[in-house]
Amino acid sequence: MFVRFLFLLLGSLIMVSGVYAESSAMSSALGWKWPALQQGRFVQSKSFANLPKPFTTRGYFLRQPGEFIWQTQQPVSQRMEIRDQRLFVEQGDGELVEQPLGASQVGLLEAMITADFLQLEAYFQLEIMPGEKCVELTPIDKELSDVVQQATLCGEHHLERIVLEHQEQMRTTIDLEWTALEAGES
Amino acid sequence: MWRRTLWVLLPALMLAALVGWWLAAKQGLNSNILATLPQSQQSILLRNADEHFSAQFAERVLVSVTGLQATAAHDALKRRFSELGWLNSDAQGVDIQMLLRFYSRYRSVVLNEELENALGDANAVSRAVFGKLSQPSNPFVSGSFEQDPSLNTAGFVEQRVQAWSPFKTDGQRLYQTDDQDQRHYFLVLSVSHEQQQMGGAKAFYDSLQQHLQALQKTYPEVQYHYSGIALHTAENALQAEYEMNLFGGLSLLGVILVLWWAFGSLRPLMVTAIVILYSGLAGIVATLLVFQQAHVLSLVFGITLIGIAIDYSVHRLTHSNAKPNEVNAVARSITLGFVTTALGYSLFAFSPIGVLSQVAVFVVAGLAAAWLLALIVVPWWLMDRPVTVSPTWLSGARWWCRHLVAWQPKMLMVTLLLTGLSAVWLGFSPLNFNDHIRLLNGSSQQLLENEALHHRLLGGDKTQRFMVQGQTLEMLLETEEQVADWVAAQEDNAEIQRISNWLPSLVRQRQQQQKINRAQQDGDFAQVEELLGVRLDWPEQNWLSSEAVQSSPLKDVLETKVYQSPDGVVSWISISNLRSDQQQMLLTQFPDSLVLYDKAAQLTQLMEHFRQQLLLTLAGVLLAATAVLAFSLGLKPALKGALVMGLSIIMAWEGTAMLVGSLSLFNVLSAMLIIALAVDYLVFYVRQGASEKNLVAITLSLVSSLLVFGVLAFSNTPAISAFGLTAALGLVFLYALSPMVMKGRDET
Repeated sequence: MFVRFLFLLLGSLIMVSGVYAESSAMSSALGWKWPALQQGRFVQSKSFANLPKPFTTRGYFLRQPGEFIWQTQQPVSQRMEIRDQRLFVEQGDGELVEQPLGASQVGLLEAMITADFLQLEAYFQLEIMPGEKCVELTPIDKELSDVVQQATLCGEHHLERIVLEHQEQMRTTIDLEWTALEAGES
Repeated sequence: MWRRTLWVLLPALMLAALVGWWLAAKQGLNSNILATLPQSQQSILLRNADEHFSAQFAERVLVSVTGLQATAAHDALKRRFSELGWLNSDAQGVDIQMLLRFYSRYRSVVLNEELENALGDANAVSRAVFGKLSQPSNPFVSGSFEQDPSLNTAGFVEQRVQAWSPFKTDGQRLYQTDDQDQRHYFLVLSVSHEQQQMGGAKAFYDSLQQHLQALQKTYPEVQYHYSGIALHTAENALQAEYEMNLFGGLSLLGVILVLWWAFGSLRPLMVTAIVILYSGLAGIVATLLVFQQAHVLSLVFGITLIGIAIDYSVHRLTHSNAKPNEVNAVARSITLGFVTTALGYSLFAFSPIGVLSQVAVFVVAGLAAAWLLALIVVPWWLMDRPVTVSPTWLSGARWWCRHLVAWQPKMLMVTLLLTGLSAVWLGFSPLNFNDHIRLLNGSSQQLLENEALHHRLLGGDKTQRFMVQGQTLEMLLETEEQVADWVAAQEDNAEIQRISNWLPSLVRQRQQQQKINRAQQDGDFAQVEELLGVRLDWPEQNWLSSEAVQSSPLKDVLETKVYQSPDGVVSWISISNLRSDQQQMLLTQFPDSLVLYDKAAQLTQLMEHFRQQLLLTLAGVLLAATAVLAFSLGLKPALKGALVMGLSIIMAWEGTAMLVGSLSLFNVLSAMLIIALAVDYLVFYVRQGASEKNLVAITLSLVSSLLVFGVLAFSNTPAISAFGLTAALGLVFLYALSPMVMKGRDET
């Protein structure tokens, strides 16, 4: 059931057009603006109950028309690309191979980064956290909450942190830094 | 008269009821076409497995939606089908979370390919593990990390789930994309056993179309397509019903009008119908007595009996008020015709195809019944009130007689000329046979196109199915793995779906355990353990057994893919992107354990086999008929008769090929009808000459046969149409050429 519901969520999110929903009331309330550069660096931290310390990865992301790149650089190099709503993941030999079931997984990330609240409202109750520049996303559907119990998007002027709370004390935290990439990084 | 009619009719009705009960209660009718294959070609185990697997395909119906608003239309349709209980629950996939938990227990003996390839190189192992763990949101990782931090289980299940389904998913919907990158959203429906039968299939199809038409009104921009065996059953049943009503009605009306015109009474119609009924019943009873079960194909091939039964009846009817010596002459001619035809059909008994032996018994018994009725029952029945031929027909026959007598001396020359022309034509345009099973399918073009579209979208055009057999499940799994290794060595792009992907053989599991143990000893996982801060735990000798799979979420998958019986175990595998020459090499490589599983190809091959056997038998029948005619009528008329029969058949085939493009088994079957009627025409022309009543009988026989068989040329089902067209052409040629065998003025 887990994956089915995750797909339910993620699949819906991948359909997000990528248009930053500045017009939405939520974006206005948070005062977020779409960064001039649709690229930057990330630090992703995964906490599992059976790990003594979080597993941290670093890399960069890049949005271009019809394409989203998520490049992990540390501790290993691995590239993921979404092109035309299809996910390609770099294999051990460097080849990018399409993952038929995985597009929605990375689509989730892209949808979160674009913070399209109009789309997110269809699946989550959105609530601005008092005194913080954060919005809390609680799944409307109980079954959806079996997959992601809660998501939080935070940032001062634009989205800077995504936190996904899963079951069994699993948590994924992604810190985003919207900055120009170096030459050769694309 | 009426009392005699009752005496004739009542036993027929009682016998029909008895046969009907026998066929229904004792399952006396066998419709399994593959059962007609010789045992060496299709073992019982494979045949049973084939039925098991085919039943799964038969219950599936696919509906796809594409175009603007396709997702909304899909969702609406899904809700509707869900309410109706039509959705196939298996198509939504197995519960992956449970799968992950299940396989994590066997992480030492089932390895994912990426990790397996990395073993022996600590950096590669780290890259494989961390690469997967780095993915921001991989449900396979989060679903199994607790139990298996090496992520071997996550990779194992992910690879197999991705390769398993022919569909992609956007989360809520199954879809595939076409060449224009347009998405077609699929719904997989399950039809019940009743809905697969003719009546149920029609009701289901009707209901499905109503729902789709309603959908089109709400979402006018969407296009929908549907496919499935049950829909073919429905369309063919509707087509057959329509054609039976139309053609049956037209034939009946035509025969009634012709017989009424010829005799001024409808009694001849009753006589003919009763003779046909008794002949058919005698054929079925004899077949059931000899074989205990009649095959539906033997009844199909036995259709020629109708033509002969009509022929015997009309000869008897035209002479019902004749002088005793004339009646005796007709009786002798009918007897000679019966002996010749029965002897010809007896040759079918020597065919290696069991169903043709049934045809021999069916037709010979039916002929015997028609002969007895024509000689004994019909004269007794009409004793009080004989029927008379109308003066119009007699005067017409008289005119025809005069011309026949005048033309007869030139007919041999004309026939030889036609033979030469026909041979030249054959040289330029040789007869081309095509026995594809689709000839039996009268489905609409739309349904065939839908089928082709779904086949293409789901990769069917690049995929070939095979059946693998073994004495035990373990042996079968080992064979599947050997096949997979061979395929991988031959073709990099080939993909193979097999049950051993989910349940590796014990041999393979031991190898995997050894690899893991060695990797652990060599420190391949040291970097991973250090960075994660955990010690990886690899259970020892915890083998994955078929019993464990039987009580796992994979239970249904195992049952779908594997057929088990006391005689052995069979599974079906599908291989994509393997060239046809590589497929042949593969079959050669595993001759005892691998067979191609292509139902359409199998049935096509069977039809081709039937056709070749029938052609040989046809040649034998032609020779036998010529021999009997030579013995009873003399060599010269017999040779002329053989020429007439051969030429009529060849010209009918040439004409059919010219109109349709190619010939099939059913055109050869028509030739049997032509020979059967030709024997009668020839015997009567030689014995009775150009007498008026003889010509009336032969003409009535021709017209009735054309009305019964010729009208089938307009059928929408290619096989039936081919049969009707060749029969019609052949009978007309036969009618035109057969007077050649009459004795000339100098011979009489």
